[in-house]
Amino acid sequence: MATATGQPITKHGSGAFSNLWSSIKQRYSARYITRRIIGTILVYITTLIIIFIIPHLMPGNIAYQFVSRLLAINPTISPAKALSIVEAEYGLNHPLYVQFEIYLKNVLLTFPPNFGNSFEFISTPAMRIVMRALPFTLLLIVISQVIAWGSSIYLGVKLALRKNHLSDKVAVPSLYMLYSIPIFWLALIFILIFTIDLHLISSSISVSAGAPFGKVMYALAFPIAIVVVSTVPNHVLIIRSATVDFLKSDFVMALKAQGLKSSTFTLKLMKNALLPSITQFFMQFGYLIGGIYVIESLFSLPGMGTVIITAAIEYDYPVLEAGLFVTSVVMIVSNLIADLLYPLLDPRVSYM
Amino acid sequence: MTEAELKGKNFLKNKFRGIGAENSMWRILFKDGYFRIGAGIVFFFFVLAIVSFFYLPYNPVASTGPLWSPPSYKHWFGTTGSGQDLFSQWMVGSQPTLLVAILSAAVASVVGVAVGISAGYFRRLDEPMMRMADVFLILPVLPLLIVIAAFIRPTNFTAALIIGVFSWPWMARSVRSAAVSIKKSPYIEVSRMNGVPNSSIMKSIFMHTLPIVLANAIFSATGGILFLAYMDYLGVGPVTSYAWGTTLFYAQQANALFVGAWWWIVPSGISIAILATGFSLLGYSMENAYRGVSSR
Amino acid sequence: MIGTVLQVEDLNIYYSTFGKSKRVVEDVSFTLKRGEILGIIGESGAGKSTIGKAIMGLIEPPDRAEGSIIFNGKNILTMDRYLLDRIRWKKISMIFQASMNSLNPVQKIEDDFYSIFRDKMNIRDKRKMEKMTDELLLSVSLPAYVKYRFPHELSGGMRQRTVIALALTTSPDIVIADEPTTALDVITEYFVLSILKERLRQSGSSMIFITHDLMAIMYMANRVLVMEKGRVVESGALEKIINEPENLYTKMLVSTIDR
Repeated sequence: MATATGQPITKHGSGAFSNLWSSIKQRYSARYITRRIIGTILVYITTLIIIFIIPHLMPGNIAYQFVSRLLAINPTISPAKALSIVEAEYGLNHPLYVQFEIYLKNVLLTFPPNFGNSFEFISTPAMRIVMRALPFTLLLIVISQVIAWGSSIYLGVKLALRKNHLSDKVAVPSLYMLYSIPIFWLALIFILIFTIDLHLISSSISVSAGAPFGKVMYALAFPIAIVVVSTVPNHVLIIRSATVDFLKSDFVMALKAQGLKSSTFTLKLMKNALLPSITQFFMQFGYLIGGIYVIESLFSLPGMGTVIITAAIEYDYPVLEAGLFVTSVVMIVSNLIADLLYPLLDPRVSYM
Repeated sequence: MTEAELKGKNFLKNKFRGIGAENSMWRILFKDGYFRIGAGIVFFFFVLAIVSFFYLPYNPVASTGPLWSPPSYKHWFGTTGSGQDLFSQWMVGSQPTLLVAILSAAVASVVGVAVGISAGYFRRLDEPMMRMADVFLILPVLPLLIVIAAFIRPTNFTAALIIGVFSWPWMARSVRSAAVSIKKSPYIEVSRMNGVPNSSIMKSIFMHTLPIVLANAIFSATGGILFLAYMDYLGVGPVTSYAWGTTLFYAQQANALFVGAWWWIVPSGISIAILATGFSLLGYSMENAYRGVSSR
Repeated sequence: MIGTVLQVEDLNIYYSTFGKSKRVVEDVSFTLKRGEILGIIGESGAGKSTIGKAIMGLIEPPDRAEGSIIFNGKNILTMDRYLLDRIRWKKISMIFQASMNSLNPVQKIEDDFYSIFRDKMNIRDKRKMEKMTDELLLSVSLPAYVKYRFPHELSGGMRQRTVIALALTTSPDIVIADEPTTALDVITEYFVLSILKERLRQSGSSMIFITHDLMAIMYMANRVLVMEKGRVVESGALEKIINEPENLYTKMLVSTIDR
């Protein structure tokens, strides 16, 4: 339209933007926004508390871990002296509530939040290690989920339309089966088939954080394929059941009666299916992200998963705390965005 | 009890008769192929677990055969890199898996039902309780579980406990929405107007949500199986027991993959998937049957 | 037979729930003549709407329909999907029961029209589609801006008229109206019915008008079938049914009219 009438495209764009803005104003009340933000803060604080508690679940003092590591590097230092220095450094000689206070101050009032230096890479701040790994993980999640989600919407709707047919009856238990396969086992089988037996792909392509994009993608292709195969069944089942729910509604009957082309029909249903499944997707995110972490660690990719799992096994508390913190923030933010986007995608919903 | 209360009680009772009636949920369930398959799978592993208490071909952790032996007549599932019998390990592995699955589902159910019903019934509790559930839903559950397990080195029971603690919100959400819709239904309104006490109405609501609770508990059990597998595989699971995930952990440690010892990896992984699928199918068919019954 | 557009013979429809099959329409036969409005009246659960669905070819397994519904010399019940889709909406269209919910909630009204233009009438020019939509909306006394609205932003009467406009988009031979005014208040109902009648007169379409509302039947129909428990218990011209009812149910129905 814009080119046909000779009007500049930018004008059209700004119109769309002002439309968006006015619909945002229509759909959310200040009360809703405040409530949502308070909710987010609540989640944030809960997360901080849980992250603080986890290291204290372990009997004994965190500092012992650190000192024993120091002793391994340099056996000549005096354990008692080192212990007191480390305790002072990490504030471990204070009572628990004071420690909590220091922790909150370090996390809430400094930017970026300060979790102290890593135990393993002694002079590196934990947060820096985690932030270096974050883009990699985000890349993996976004690419794999765009592929998985896109194909699942199509498959889920198609499957729902074939409900009561043989193909659906076979597909549902098979999808449950695929969904129930732990992602690490799927990865092992993939490696067994494609690397060990067929020699098609090398499973251990090493990349570091600063590698060129092409090389990163090359290294990521195999893990992404595994994540896609492992998450598609879950998405398809969610979308299928959402679609089955609304297939009974009157408007679908009306659509069928219109005898539209099957591509038009499917496309319309895909739009309807998209919305109810978005919330479901984000509810599963906590599980999904865990699976992706395990895959990263299995392939030794320089992502958050490798960082966190290594830190958990090595008891590198600062890195661990920072890792969990960043993971939680990613989840909180993506949930918030999904929640706020929802009414823009679904015209019926408004948060008043 | 006044006449009105009695009337209300009978009213509730009559409404319930649906459960035993001809077209009840259970009848529908037993005709459902998915339910039969699911029940068959779960039953098989239960029997396996019970048998493994009394009889094992070999000691699962002792070296009882040749190293790296593929499946043979003597060792059905082959042996590990140190000569342990994998069939015995597989049999033993069903015990902790089922135990943790059921215990974690029980924990999730108790918390979830308590939160869900009270949130659905008392309007004042609704908002705070559901916000709390939302908090737990947003947490990165699997990474947290792995890390917590790494720190506390759980037993089967503590593992089930922490898995349950992180998986109740799903239960709470669906129980709450069911409770709200039942509470709004005309017959509950009538019995409230007739003066039936709160406690018996709540009991009635609970009875009505029971199928949903059961279906969700079964889904939680599926989650429990998988969470435990992740823990065990990463070597942070219960140290006192030998689950399928543990087998996979040792396989990974011994580089079974690169030796090509597929028999060390395949049976345990498939069993995790099959058992979880069995539970999923049970839950799925129950959910379907409940929907079918309640929509008529 | 000249003048007959649709012939239904020995129609039996079975619904299946959890493996049990139940007959909801029993041995129904009737013909529909060109330009005629045939009323089907009966209490809820009498199988009226099911007949409407069967004519649209919407009875799907596990439910099944037996008998024949002859349109243009072909049986709709045995048609494959391809032929069926060529008849649907182009030759036979339908106004659904509770048409409040028969518009897709997540798309604008214009999308409903445009997909019919594109798929059924092969019109792809955006301007032309817009213009035709405006005309169709105008013909049911709706302003043009309605096309930019979502269904939930319209009132019941407006939605109802939108659905009528949609059903008449292609000027089909037959329109099936399944309780088109049940959810409306009396004044809106009269308004909608008068628009419907006028539009039918203009396009020359025949109509099967399904309702449980005797007043609406009296206003709309030329000929009436009375249904009870899946069977046609009485049929004939409107005047005959009103003045000399034979069946007990029809007598009771007619006795509700205050004369």
